[in-house]
Amino acid sequence: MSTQTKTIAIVSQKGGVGKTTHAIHLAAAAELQGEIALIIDADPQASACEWSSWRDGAPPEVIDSAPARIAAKVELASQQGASFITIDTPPHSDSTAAAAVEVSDLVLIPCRPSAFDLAAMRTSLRLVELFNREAWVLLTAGPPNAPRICEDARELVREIGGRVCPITLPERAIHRHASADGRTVCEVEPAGKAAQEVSQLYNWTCEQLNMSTSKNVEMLA
Amino acid sequence: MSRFANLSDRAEPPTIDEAKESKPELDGTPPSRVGRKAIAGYFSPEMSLAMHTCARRNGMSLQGLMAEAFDDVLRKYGESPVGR
Repeated sequence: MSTQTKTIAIVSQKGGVGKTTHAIHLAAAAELQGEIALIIDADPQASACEWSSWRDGAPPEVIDSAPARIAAKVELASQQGASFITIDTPPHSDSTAAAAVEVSDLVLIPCRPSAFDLAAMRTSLRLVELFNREAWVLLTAGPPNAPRICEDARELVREIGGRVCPITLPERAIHRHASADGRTVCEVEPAGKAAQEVSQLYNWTCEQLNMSTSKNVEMLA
Repeated sequence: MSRFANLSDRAEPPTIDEAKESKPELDGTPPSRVGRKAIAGYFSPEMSLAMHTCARRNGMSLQGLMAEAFDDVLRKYGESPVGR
């Protein structure tokens, strides 16, 4: 696999925490910055594939994958020029999450600031530890006007030895509207708060991966 | 243009027209069944109707719809899809 290709696995044993949303948005942000992005949809519900069909296949491209084929597909996609790959995984599937984690450079574990989600997050953290990968808990879908709730969750994650991504992505209705329309929040409302948060998350992800945040700028320079 | 479409697991399901193309052989075994095994089950009339309606709405044969469903369930349980 090309060392230039960066692969981000998005895993969580809980459903509805925003795995697909973030897989889509990170890849879309990368594409916008000049990367050749690919989303590997390993969730049998195929929500990312469906989203791609709603936008008539406009980039970022989405392909499906059985767990056993994830590694081979990352390798082939890399050979075919992919520079930024996100892998969306289903909840309750250790085998798929493990296959995604194994090939990743960075693992994001989306987690809502609730007791049930935090308990499920421990399982995901243990799984990532098995593969000795860089993992960060991404706090999502909290109330936008109650930072204290996220702060408490942050503390809890730290207490059990997890690392928390400094960017939080609160619940915003625009995510639902954009997805239903086959678009991203950056396409629907580029100057909106949700778009800013996605952009911050992308920049932070690039920092973790030692990537330039904008290939477009590099090309122009 | 798609750059990674060759990497997708998904094979296009056969359309109704494609399914109709298979004509019976002289010994009575349709070519579409040669070298194949039947998988059957007994379900409620509602399930039968729902499956037939879904296949019809999507321009597929019932066989094509079942093949897609089997692949989906294989993926769900961490197995590789067979796709045929």
